[in-house]
Amino acid sequence: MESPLYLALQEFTVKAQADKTVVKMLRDWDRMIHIEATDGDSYTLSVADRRVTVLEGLHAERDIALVAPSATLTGVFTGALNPAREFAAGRLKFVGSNKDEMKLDAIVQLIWG
Amino acid sequence: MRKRGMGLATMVATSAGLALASSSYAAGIQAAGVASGLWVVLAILVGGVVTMATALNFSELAAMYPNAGGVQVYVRHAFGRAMSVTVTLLYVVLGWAGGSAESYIFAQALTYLARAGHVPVLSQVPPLAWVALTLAGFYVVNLFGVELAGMAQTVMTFSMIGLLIAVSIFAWTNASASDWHGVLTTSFPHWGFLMGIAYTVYMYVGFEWITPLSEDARDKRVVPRALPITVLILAVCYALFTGAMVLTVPLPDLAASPVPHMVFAHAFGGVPLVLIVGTISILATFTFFNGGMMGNSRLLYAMAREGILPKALSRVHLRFFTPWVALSVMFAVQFVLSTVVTLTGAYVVPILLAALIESFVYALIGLTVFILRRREPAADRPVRVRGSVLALGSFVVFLVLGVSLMFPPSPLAVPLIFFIAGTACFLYAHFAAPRVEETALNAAPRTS
Repeated sequence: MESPLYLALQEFTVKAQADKTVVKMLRDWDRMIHIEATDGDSYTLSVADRRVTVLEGLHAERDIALVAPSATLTGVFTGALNPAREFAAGRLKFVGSNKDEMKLDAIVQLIWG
Repeated sequence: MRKRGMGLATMVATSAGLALASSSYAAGIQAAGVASGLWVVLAILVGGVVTMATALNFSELAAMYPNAGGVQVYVRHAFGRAMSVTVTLLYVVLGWAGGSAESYIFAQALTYLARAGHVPVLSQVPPLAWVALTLAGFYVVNLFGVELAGMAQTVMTFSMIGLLIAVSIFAWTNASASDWHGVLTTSFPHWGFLMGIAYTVYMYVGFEWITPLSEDARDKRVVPRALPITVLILAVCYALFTGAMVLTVPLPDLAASPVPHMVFAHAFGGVPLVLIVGTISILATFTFFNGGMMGNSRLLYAMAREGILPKALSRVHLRFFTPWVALSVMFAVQFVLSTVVTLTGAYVVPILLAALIESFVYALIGLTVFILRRREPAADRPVRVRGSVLALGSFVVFLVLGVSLMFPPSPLAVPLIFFIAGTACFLYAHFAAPRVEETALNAAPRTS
C-alpha cells in the first residue's frame, strides 16, 4: 500500500504540472529534492525539463533536502501545514541554497496560496 | 551524497564581513571619547572577551539547533513565541539603525575620498545623493538576487582585515614619542571605561548572523567554531586600528568627524593612505550591506510566511526569486531613516541604539542557554562550556552594558527610541500578531 507521504507527493506533482506559472518557473531548474522522513520511507522529487516526478528512495546527489517526520512532510505537501511555521518551530529541516529555498517556497505558495 | 558546503574560512569571512563596517570606526572613536583615549584599546579587548562569551553561547545553541533560523528559534524554545517575535522585530529595528549609520558614514567617506583626491564632479556630489545611490544600488543588487560567492566574500574580507592590520602596525610603529606621551598620561576613566565597553558592542554587531547558515556549512562544527574565531579577529583588528587612530591624531579632531578613519589616514599618510583606507571602507560597507539588507528582508519575509506579519510581505518575485515586497519595505524605511540621519548628522544615535538593542539580545541569549540547560538537560549539545558561569555571566554583563547605554553621555534619543521601539514590538507580538495570524489561517486552506 502506498504511504500517505507518497500520495501527498503525487498530488503535489499533479498540481505543480497543472499550474502554468509553476511549469514556467521550472525552466532551467533541474533539481533532485530529497524528501527524508525521519520515521518512515523517504522519496526523491526529481525536477527535470519542467517535469516533476516522484521516485521511491533517495536518488543521486541531492540539491535540496527536506527532513521531517512523515506526518509533517505529508501535511506540508498536501497544503495542510504551513512550511514556514514548521521550519520556525524546528519540526522541518531545509537543506539547500537560499535561492532554491525561495523558489521552492514560491512554488508552494502558488499551489496552496 | 551531500555537496560540499561552506568551510571554516568562508564562514569566518562571512561573519567578520557582517560585523566589519565603516561605522565601526566611528563607534570606536566615540568609545575612545568616553574611555579617555588609548584606554579604548583595553575597552575593545574587554568588549571582545565578553562578546567571546556570547559567541560561545551562540555556538552551543547553533550546534543544538543546526537546522533552524537563528536567534528567533533559540528564544522561542526558551521563552515562547511572543518573546521570539519581539526579539525578531527588534532585530529588524537594529538592522535599520545600523544601516542608517552605515549609509551616512559611507556617504561621508566617499565625499572625503573624492575631495581628498580632487576628483572633479564626484567631489561636488552632496552626501544625501551618495546615501540614495548607495541604498538604491544595494536594493537593486538584492532585488536581482545577486549573491556574493563564498570565495569572493572570503577574499574580500581577509583582504580588508590584512589591510587594516598592516595600516595599524605601520601607524603604531611610526608614532612619535610625543604621540605616546600624549596618550599614556591619561588616567583610568572608571565609569567612562564601562561606557567605552558598552559603545564597543556596536563593533561586533552582526557576527552572530551566520547561525542560520549552519546547514550550509561543510559540517555541523563549522559555525560553532567560526563564531569565537571571528570575535577574536574582530577584537584584534579593532583594537589595533582604533589605537592607531587615537595614538597618531588628536582625539578631538577624530571625534569631530563621522569618518575618523579617513581623517586619520589623511593626517598620518596623506592621499595615498586615504585611498587605502577609503578602499577598506568601501569593502566594509559592501560586506555589511551584502548580508545585512537581504538578511533583514528575509526576517520580514519569514514572519509574513508564518502569518505573523501581513501576507503581502511574503510575495516572491517570480523571475528573481527574492522577497521583493519585504525588500522594498526594508529599502523604503531604510531610506527615510538614512535621510533623517544625513540631514541631522546625528549618526551617533543609531550607533548607540544598535549597541543597546544588541546588548539586550546578547543578555537574552545568555539567559536562553541557562534556561534550556535546565529545561532540556538531556538534549544533544555537541558544543558546551561547562558550568553556568558563562551563560549567567554574559546575561548580567550585557544587561549592565545595555542599561549603561541609556544614561549620559548617550543622547536622550537613544533610550527614548529604544523604549518606543521595544514597546511597539512587544505590543505587536502580544496583541496584533495573533490577530494577523488568525486572519491568515482563516484565509488559507490550512489546518495549522
